Amino acid sequence: MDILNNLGIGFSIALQPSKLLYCFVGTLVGTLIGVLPGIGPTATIAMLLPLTFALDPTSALIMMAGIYYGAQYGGSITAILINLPGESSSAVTALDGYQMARQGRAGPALATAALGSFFAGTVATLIVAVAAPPLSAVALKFGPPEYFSLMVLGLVASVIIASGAISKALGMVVLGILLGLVGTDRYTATPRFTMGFFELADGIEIISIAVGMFGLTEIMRNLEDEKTRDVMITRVTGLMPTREDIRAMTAPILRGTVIGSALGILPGGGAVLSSFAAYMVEKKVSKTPERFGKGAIEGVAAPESANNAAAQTSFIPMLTLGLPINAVSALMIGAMIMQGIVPGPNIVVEQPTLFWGVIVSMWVGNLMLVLLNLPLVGIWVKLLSVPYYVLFPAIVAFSTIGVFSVNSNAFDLYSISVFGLLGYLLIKLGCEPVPLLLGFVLGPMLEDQLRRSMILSRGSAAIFFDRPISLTFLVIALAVFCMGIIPSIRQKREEVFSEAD
Amino acid sequence: MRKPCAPIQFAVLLAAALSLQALPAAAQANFPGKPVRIIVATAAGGPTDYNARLVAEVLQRVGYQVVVDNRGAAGGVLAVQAVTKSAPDGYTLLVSHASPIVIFQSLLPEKPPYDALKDLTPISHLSNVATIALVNPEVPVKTLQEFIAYAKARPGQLNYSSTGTGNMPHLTGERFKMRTGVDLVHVPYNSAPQALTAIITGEAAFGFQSPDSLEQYKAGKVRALATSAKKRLSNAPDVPTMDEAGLPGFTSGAWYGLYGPANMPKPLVDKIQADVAKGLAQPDVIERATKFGFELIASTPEQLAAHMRSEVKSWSGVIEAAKIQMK
Amino acid sequence: MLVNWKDTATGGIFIALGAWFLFAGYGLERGTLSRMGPGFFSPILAGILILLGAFIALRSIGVRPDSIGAVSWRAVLFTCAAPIIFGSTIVGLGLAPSLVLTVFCAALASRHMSVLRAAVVSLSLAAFCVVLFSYGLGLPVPLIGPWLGG
Repeated sequence: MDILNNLGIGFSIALQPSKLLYCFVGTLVGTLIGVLPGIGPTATIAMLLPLTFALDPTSALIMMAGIYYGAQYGGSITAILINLPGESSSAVTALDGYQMARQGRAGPALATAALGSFFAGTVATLIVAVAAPPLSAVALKFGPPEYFSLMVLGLVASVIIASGAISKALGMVVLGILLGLVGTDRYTATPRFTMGFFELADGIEIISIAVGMFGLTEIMRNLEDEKTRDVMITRVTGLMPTREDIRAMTAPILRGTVIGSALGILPGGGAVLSSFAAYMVEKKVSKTPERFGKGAIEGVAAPESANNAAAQTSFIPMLTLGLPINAVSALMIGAMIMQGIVPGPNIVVEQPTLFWGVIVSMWVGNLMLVLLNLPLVGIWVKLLSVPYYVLFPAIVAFSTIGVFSVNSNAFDLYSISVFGLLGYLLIKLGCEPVPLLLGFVLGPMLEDQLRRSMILSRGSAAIFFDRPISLTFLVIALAVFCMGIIPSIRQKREEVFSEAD
Repeated sequence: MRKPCAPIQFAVLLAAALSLQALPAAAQANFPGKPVRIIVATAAGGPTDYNARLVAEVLQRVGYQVVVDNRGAAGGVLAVQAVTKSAPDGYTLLVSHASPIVIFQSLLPEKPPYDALKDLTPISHLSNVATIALVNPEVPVKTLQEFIAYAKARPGQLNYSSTGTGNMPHLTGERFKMRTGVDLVHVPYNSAPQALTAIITGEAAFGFQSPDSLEQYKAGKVRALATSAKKRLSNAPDVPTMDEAGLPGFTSGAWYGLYGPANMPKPLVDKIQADVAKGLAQPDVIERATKFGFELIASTPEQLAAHMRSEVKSWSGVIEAAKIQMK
Repeated sequence: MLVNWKDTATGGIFIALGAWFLFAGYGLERGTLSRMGPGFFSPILAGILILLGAFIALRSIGVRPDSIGAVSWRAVLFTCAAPIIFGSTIVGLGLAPSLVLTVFCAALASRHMSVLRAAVVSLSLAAFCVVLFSYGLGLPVPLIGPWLGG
């Protein structure tokens, strides 16, 4: 009954009034900055880092973790309401969530996201509590070849989830990867595609792409014909999901939770991949895949559950090994170090109250999120009734400040305009921006792991096929690709024939 | 996924905002009459940031208002550039690690848009950080000398991990190869934790890491062969120094300094240097820093300038040699 | 002849961008299989992009054209100009005046916007943002920049 004991310790810490307060502050701040386009959890935690020095380490970690998963949730609010994903992992949520909002179903979409996130968060927290040490051992089994194959799978999946022509989606992925390669090559310190700009040495800022290709592009589309939007808001129907909705979302939430919990453990890209993977699985198992991209509630439930589950399990390597796997956990480790705790594999034994207190507080925080956000759904939906001529300048203002806050770099702002124009042009031509974003996020990792694998194998590609986990991913990727491309070829043929008639 | 902007405390910001409007320019006599902005050449959370926070804290203790502004873009080049372009009035300072100051000029194919030796005013060295030589526990060696012999018997077969080409663990590794004549294959990773994980899993047999990796050593995940600190570290007294391990004088380049824009008036430099030196000598500050392997060094501006020049020379030699080996 | 110009244009853009990446990456070292250089991966990708572009463009021939729908050039112009205005004035003018200009420009993107209305929207939004970001989140950007003597 060790685990009950440990959870007991955790609850005795997490339910202390001061810890509850910091947990609440964290989730509230997280939600709010998630809603503000451009400002992400990394920037916020960095800005608030000095404040945490005044707190005890457990409270500091509880608050920072709250900001992180709160922002994951908040990011989906803007994805649903204005088609601007606050985090790259909520780009998928925007696909169907925004369509639901356009059909007047923003309320159920938001409620689905909240309920799915809460369920996923609960399960994932339990997984962290019960199985963190063995799972961290699994994470260590993932070397460069495994990551490479996983990235290949992720990129193939992103082509499949796009609803337009598959050749265009492929082109967007490839373009995304190429854009992701802009910057200094880590292996030789050579600048690539930077056109001599030092501002591009770290590559193109991802928030500039997200704000440009999703935010500005959506504004330009809405302003094409300013009458259609007014029609859309007059038909807000119901704030809460109907019984039918709940039936439709149950299985996707379960599947999303499983996928997210599994992929979240993997350093780098796990959270992003999980929401894409969950969406793809739903589209594949659905009897009516044509509804996806047009406001299917499963398309909101699955990725939202997946990315929240991943947000929780992504803390496993940090908590059990002291090894941060993303920018946020690196900042949390930094905060611990400044507090005088150097985290390592012994942290569970040396700091049991901190370890279990933080884990239990994650569940408490998820409970707070759902309690906080279900009543807020009505308010968020009301936001849509703000006249658009006020709403869109506000989006521009928040986004530009948000982007500037990341690096204090004017160049990142010029990039917004460039990607806004490019995104608008491509969307007008029937190319969706989501595969490009995934290519941009995963592409550099793909090249990185490829090159590292080849160094380790001294130039032999057999390394990808000799290792069972890597081989499995490649086989799945091939299967997914065939499953995706065959129906599209068949469909194309039918189109050609029907046109010939 | 990047990179935080400056952290700041609400009270300080409020004061900053008000005073920026109230005081157009403060005379040097009543320095610091408005908040001092410390630009940090990395994102929040790492050792460079830690040094900046320490400086901010000790200056606040003697009445400065300090705004810490993290600019990690382009490996710190943009942070240094911003400082070189600001007014030399003491209100804009730089805390940087070694790379953008003494390494990038000889390393990068596109030179940074400044000459750190000319465009910066050195104020004070802040600290050195020890580097730890680690091996995977499966490698059958107990000492650094045993590892060197083991590696010499397997030229080109063993890997060492780093945090990226041109970063300190890489250059330290190349310096180690030059010094000992072993042939190790360099595998770059994206961050210190990833490079450390590679040593834990055995992807890399060897690598140089900062002292926080000693936690992994204590847990038996890696074996620590030597530390570049002058004395054995208090949290791992069984790890020998480089001197004891047979590589006398072997150091890493992990050191941190405080700078201002070029042409700062001498009295101003001296005042800031004295305030920092006094602060870094306080026992509680020393105790905290030592715990993580930071050795605090408050030098004179002249000493820092001399250190910069010698570092530029030393690393350009390593880079020259390493480039030849890379091909 | 039937040509779906929308796809022809898509193909053309992919080919142009692929060609640019080929050209800009020309001279990057290719390296070897055991130590790939910076120029190993990108030409392959650029090549794929060009091939895809050619495929899409060829396939557009003989297909009924479909419309790209309405475009509001006014919206395109003012929406894309706003971030540029912010980027070029934020350091010099400071947060508050730069925001007023940016929001004013963005607001003009809507056909329903008069100058007076845009001014009201921009002033109130800028005030709101200053409170939220400067005082609330502690954004370390001066409110009034050096161009205005701040």
